[in-house]
Amino acid sequence: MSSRQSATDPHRSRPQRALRSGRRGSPAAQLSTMVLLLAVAGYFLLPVWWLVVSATKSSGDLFGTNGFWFGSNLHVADNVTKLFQHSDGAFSRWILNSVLYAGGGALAATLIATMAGYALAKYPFRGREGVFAVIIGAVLIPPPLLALPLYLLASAAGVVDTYWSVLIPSVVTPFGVYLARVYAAASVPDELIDAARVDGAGELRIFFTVALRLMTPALVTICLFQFVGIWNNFFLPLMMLADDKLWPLTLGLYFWNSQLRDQPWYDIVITGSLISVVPLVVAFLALQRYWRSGLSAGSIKA
Amino acid sequence: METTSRQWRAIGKAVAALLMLPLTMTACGGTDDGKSGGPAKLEFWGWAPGYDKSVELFNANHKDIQVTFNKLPSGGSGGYDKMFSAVKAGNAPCLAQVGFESVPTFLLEGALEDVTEEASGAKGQFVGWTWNQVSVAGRTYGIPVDTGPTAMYYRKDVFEKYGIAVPTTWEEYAKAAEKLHQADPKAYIVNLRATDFTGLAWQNGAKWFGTEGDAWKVTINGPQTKQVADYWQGLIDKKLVNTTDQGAAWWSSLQSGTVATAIGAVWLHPLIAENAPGAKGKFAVAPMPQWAAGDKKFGNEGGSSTAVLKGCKNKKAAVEFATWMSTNPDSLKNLIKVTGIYPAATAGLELPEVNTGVDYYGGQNIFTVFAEAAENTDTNWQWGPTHSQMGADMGEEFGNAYAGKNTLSGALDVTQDKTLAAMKSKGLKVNG
Repeated sequence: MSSRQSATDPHRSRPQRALRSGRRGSPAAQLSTMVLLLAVAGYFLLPVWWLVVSATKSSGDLFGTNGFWFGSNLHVADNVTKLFQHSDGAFSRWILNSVLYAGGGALAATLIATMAGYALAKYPFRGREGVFAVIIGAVLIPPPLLALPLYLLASAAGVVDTYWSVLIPSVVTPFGVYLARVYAAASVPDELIDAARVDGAGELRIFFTVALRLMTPALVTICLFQFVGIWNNFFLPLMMLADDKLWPLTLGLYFWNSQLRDQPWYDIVITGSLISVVPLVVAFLALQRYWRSGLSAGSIKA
Repeated sequence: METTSRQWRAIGKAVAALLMLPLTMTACGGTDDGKSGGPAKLEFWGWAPGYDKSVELFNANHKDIQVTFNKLPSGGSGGYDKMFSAVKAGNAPCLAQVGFESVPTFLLEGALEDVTEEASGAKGQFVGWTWNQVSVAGRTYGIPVDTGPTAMYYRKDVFEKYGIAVPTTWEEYAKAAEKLHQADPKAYIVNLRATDFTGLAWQNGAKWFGTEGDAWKVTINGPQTKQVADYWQGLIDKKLVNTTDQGAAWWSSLQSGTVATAIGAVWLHPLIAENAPGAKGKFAVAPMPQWAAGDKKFGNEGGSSTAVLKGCKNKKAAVEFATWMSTNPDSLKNLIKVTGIYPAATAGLELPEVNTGVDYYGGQNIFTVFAEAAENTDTNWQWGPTHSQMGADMGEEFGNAYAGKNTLSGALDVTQDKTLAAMKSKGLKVNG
C-alpha cells in the first residue's frame, strides 16, 4: 500500500520510480517483500497492542490473564477515571505542560532552525562551513549527555525549576538546522531570491513570504521531529524541575511508576502511557504526507 | 543591504531580550534557607505518597518553620542522581528522603550534613537498630522514618491442601518445599529474588560492611552469609525454588498459588493485595523461619530516613521537622495510612493503625508478626558506600547462579571482589 502511494507521489524523482516499477515485475519478490514487511510491522505493533489491551484491564487481570488478549471485563472507563482523579488531577496538568513544552518548543525550534538553515544555505559568509560543521557535530551528541551541564548552567542563571529551564534548551535542534539547510539549498532557487530582491523585497520579507512557503515540507518534518523529541524528553525535565506542577507527562508517569514499591499503580501508569502516545499518533497520521516528502528530499540531497 | 543588517541587529536584540526575560523573572523568586525575620523556609525532596500531607500538617502547627515538599522519582530511579546534581550545583534542598541502604553512598558523595549534635536528643525515640542506619562511624546524618521488618507470607489454602505445616525453622521450610513440589510438580515454595537475599543474610547476623578506625571493612562473603547461600543453593540444586518468574509473572504465580510463599517486608502486604486480588483471604503471615528452633532473629528489607543534605543553612530546623514527621502521632497515622510505612519510632508501633486486622489476609492482625520482627531485627547490619554498584553486581551474579553458571556462594565471592575494587577506585581505605 505504501509503495503504491509513494509511486504516485509527485516529489519522487524519475529514476526511483523506474526502479520501483521494475521490481514490481516479479510476483515472488513482491510476495516475499509483503510477508517480510508484515512481519516487521507486526513486530513493531505488538507492544502497542499489549498497551491497548492492558489499558482495558483491572490490576488483577493485568497479572492473571493473557497479556495479549482482553481480560474478563473491560475496565477502560474505571482506569481512565482513576487516572484523571489520581493526585488531585495531576495528570491533566501534566498533559497541558507537555503540550506547552512540545508545542511551544517545536514551533520556536522550527522557526529558529529554518532561519538558521536558510541563512547557512543562502548567505555566503566567512566561517560558514565551520559553523555548519559544529552544528553537524552537535547532531552526534546524545541529548541526555547535555542534561547535567545544562542543569548547572541553568542553576547558575537562576532558571532552574521554571518553565523556561525546559523550554529554552528545547528550541535548539541541530538536526533541524541541518535539514533546513539541505532543503533550502534544494528547494529555494537563488534566481527567485534575486528576483524578489529586484522587486524591492527586504531579506526578512523574502524569507517569510517566499522561502518559508517553499520549505513547508521541511518545516513540518522539523516540527514533528522536535515535537516528538520534546514530548518524549525525560532526562532534562527530571534534572530541571522540582515542582511537580511543572512536570511533563513523561516525568509524571515515570514518577508514578517509580513509586510502585510504596503503592501499586500499574493500572493508571499503563492507561496513562496509552493516552500519552495518542497525540504522537495523531500528529504522525495527520502530517505524514508532508514529513515523508521532507525527509526524503533531505536524504537524497545530503 | 543596509536595511538588512539593521533588521538582523533588531532580531539579535529581540532574541537576547527573550533569553534574558526568565532571568529577570526569577531573580525575585529564589527561596532562601536561613533568611532573617519571618519563618525558616526549608525544602524537602522525596517520592513517597503521603509525605506532602505530613508536611502540610507540620506547617499548620509551626509558625517559625515552613517546609515545601517537592516530588521526584524514587531514589534508585534517578531521584538520588538528581539530589547529587543539586548538591553539586549548590541548590540542594535541606531535607531529602533517603533509603537506609543509600545513606553511606550519600556520605561518600559528600551530600550529607553532620547533624550529630542537633539530633542527639531524638535518638531514644527510635527502635534501636534504626539509629545505626542513619549513622556512619558514630556520626549521624538524618532521622529514621520507617523500617521493613520481614516475615513469611504464605498461601494457607495451598499448605492445607497438601497437609503442610507452617514451617518455623529453615529446615522445616526445606522439607515443606520438597513436599509441595512432590505433590504438585508445577508448584514451588518460593521465588527467590536477589533483592530478598539481603534480608535473609541480615537475619543470620551477617555484617557486610563496617568501619574500623578510618577504614571500611567488607565481608559480603562472610560465614553467616555463606550459610544462607549454601542453604538456598541446596534448594536450587534440587529444583525446589522458582528462579525464573520475575516482575509481572511473580504476581501471577502468587495469585494462582504456584508460588506458595514470599519472604518479604511489611510493605509487601498492600502490593500483594492489589496485584493478586484473586487470592483474597488465601494469604496469611507468619514469622520468618529461624535457623535454630526457638530463636527470635529477624531481618529487614528497606526502610528509609529523612536526611539533611549538604549546604543546609538551618540544620536545627531541619532536624526538628524530620523528628516531628517521624514521631508525631498525626503525621505517623497519615504516613501509615497513605504511604504504607511501618514506623521506626517506638511509640509508632503502639498506634492502633498498625495493630489491626487486614481484610485481605482473612482479618489476621498481620502487624503483630511484623512488630516482633522489628524489635528483634539484628542490630549488626550496615550498608556500604557503593550501594548501586553492589546491588547491580549482586543481581548479575545471582542471575548467573540461577542459570547454573555459578553457585550463590561463588556469586558472593565475585560480588565481594567487585565491591572491594569499586570502593578502592573511589579512593576509600578498605580492609577485605
